[in-house]
Amino acid sequence: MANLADRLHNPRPGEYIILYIHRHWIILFASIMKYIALAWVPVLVYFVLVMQGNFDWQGLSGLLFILGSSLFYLYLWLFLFNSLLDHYLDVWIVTNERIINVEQINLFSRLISEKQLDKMQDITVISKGFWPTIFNYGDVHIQTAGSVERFIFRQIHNPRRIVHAITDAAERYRIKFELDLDNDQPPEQSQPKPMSISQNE
Amino acid sequence: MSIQFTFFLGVYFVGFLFFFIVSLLNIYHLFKYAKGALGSKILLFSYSIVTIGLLALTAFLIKDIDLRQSLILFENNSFDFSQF
Repeated sequence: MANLADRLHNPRPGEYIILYIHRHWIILFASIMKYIALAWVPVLVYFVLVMQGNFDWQGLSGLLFILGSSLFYLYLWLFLFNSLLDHYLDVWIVTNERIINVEQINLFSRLISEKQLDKMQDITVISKGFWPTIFNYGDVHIQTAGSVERFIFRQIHNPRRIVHAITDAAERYRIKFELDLDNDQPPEQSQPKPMSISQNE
Repeated sequence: MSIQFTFFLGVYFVGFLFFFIVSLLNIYHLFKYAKGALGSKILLFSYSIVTIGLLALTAFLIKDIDLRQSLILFENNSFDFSQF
């Protein structure tokens, strides 16, 4: 089981993690492939310069090419690191009590939202397109009560399995919640009584 | 009018400075939200190694270039493209 204190910023007593989900690896792979393709640009520029015949490693063209390529690769590496960080910090957590959505939107924007499992109303799985069908990933939309906002688990692997796990956890939470309510009531008050005026005051 | 080669080194330094600041912000995020996790350590280590490697390679490639040279932009009111 995952270390709860490391992964949740405010763990509750008796809470444990059921699912700890990142985006599907193919999303990160596609991003890495994009940067690998871009990494060939300075190589192509070098061959164009050499074919023109006026490239000199010791001269101005050499200096500009080296410094330009160096900056290009540094920023490429920075953006790739950003993608890795984004993938690593975007996480959806399902515990036995709540769902938590953590998204690193950009460098200065981070979204953390959570909802009790009993507040969930309906869950929708959206997996459309060629690659999502092939690699079995998609979005899970969770409609919660009392709010227009929906929880969206984006581009996660095997969304149907996730939905089953969440609905199962929600059902268990409801049963536990009802049992706790029953146990909290004193024995003589376990039977519902008609509400009196004094109780309302 | 002429520009010394060190000017381009200055432009590179400004670009690198911005890269460095954004990198520090990224590392700050990594430490703040994923402190102690193995994945964050691997990310940070690989980031440092590749960045240092790129800078070392750049320094190695420009070490033989005489930076005291100058680029003559205009001479007799004409731009000399042959210098490129």
